[in-house]
Amino acid sequence: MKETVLSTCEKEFVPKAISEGRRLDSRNLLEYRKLQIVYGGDWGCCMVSLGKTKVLAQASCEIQQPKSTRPNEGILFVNVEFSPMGAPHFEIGRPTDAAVQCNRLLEKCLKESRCVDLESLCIVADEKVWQVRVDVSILNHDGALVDAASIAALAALAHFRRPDVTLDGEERSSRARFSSSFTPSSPYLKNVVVDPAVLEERTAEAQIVVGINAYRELTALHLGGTGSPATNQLVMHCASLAAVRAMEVVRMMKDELAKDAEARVQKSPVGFVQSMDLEKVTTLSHEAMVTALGQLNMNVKMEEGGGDAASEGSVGESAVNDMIVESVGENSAELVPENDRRPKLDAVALCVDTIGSGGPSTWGGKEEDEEPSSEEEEVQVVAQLSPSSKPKPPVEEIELSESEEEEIHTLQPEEMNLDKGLEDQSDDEIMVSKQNTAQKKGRKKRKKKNGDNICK
Amino acid sequence: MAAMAEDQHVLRKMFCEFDVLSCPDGSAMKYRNRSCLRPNKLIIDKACVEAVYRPKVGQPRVADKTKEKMIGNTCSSAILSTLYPRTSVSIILQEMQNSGGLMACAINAAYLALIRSGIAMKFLVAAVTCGITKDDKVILDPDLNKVKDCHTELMFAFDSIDFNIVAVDSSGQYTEEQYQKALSLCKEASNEIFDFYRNLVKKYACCI
Repeated sequence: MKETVLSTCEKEFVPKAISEGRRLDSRNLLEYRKLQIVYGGDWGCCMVSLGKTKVLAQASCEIQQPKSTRPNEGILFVNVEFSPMGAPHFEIGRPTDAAVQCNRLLEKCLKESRCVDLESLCIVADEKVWQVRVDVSILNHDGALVDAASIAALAALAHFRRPDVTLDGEERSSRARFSSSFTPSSPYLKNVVVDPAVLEERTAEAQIVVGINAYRELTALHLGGTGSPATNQLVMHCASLAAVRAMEVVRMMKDELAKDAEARVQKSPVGFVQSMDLEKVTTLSHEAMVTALGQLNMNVKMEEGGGDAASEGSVGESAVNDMIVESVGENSAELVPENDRRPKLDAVALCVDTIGSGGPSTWGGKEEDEEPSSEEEEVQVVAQLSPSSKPKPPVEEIELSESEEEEIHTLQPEEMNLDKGLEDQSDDEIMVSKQNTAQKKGRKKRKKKNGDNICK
Repeated sequence: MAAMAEDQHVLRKMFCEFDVLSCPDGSAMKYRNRSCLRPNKLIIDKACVEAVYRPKVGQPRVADKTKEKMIGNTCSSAILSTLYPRTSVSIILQEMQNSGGLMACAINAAYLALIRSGIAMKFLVAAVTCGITKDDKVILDPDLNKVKDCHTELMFAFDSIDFNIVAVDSSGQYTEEQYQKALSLCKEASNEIFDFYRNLVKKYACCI
């Protein structure tokens, strides 16, 4: 799928707003989005979210032969994957230019900053060394991918524990030392904007990515885009902004790392599950369930499931004797089993309970139930059905699937006559109310109700 | 003995979070997996359903491709594809943490994402893993430690209407008797997963 095209409005509006010091998400020009670092249950796994941008990184290692030019050094390999989960225009197995660029930048940053002590990864010179591999996959793309990816990669490396290797009964190396760090910051040219969201990124003239570590050492500098050439001052300005940011990010990373280490020492659960906000409406947790295997029990359960679906789907003839006609709102009624009359608020839950168990959709018919609670008081038992005497309710009353808004009611001629005899006023009323359609609808309904009363 | 038996028939705690991602149509993060959905390819008269499974480390290999295919087949059996001509449904699954039962988790996550995306389906599917230990006990949803004791792993996927088998994945040797036992155990456990789906929808439906 192709990337969606930016509209002219967006192209014009975003830069204009930025030139006035405003941004779409109401940040200041030099304000970053909320950064969150969550360590996973496995060693060397972490997820970083920067606003809506989400990146998952996993560090892993394997033993390999070293490069012949560097026989006593381990290998650091970085792989950035722009999976289609991140954005629809990313494709599998076909890295975009942006993906390649991001990969190269990250590799350069990590290697140049010497955050991984490669010599400590050597097991036997010229024969066996550790290759540390960092896989970064983009889960959600909302701008500033290089920022998020670099933070994730570094956090994963910092969290990673390489297994100790014993060779000929003699331990050759201890745990690898991963120290210091860097973080790129991608400000904009002209009006410098840090941590751009996807729209800002796409409408920008140019982009500067500054790789810098917590000791204010520059590790990478990338200037992209077609905009005006960067001046010395601008680059210096961006670098100093990035340096401040780098320190913040590293401090936060270390805090999270310490928290994670403490949790592991105390044997309390760690991982992504712990980061889920269970208070959110879109989150659900389910306690561990226990089943005792019993053949008989199981059969009963299956039958119950089938029965439910049948009774919900269609009300059989035999079931009619226990039915009660309940009016739900105006001009609509519902057949409810007598022993199964629940409060209205349960109705939503009722139709949800049958999700996925077959039968026709119950959503349309129950729509009225979700109306505000004021309707509740109007629920009344209209008539009680019994097999001996079958009163025929008006046809429009048992139409369950029609929502109130779409309802069209036509007055029958005989009905008009009936009404005329009783109340002459009402016709005039209708004439007057033609100016206001809403009112008209309400009155017609009322009139209809009167008619019903007469029928009774 | 009864207490012991109960101990073995336990599905681990399940978690799910909807709407984790902003770009795709529907996303669900379920304990060990995360999946999302978006359209891509084109068949004239019906929807094309494809699954993409991404391991956490390295490039996808043959085993991952097999998983992909299986998840794709399981999902396309339920989706009413003729309702969506010229559409492609891509289900992208990213492994986040593997603590056993990855395949079943992937299928469940895929279905949760499908529910969230609002695609019409004939039925829902719940997948349950169980293992057969060396002393011939059937245990439900074994974690990584328990998997080591198992010589066989079976994964069943059931539909929500007749509880028929939609997919089976097995590794190792087992007798017919063991298979039947595992099947009935998983069938019972699948109810719990359908309840989980329902509770999620119930919770979510109240806020929209």
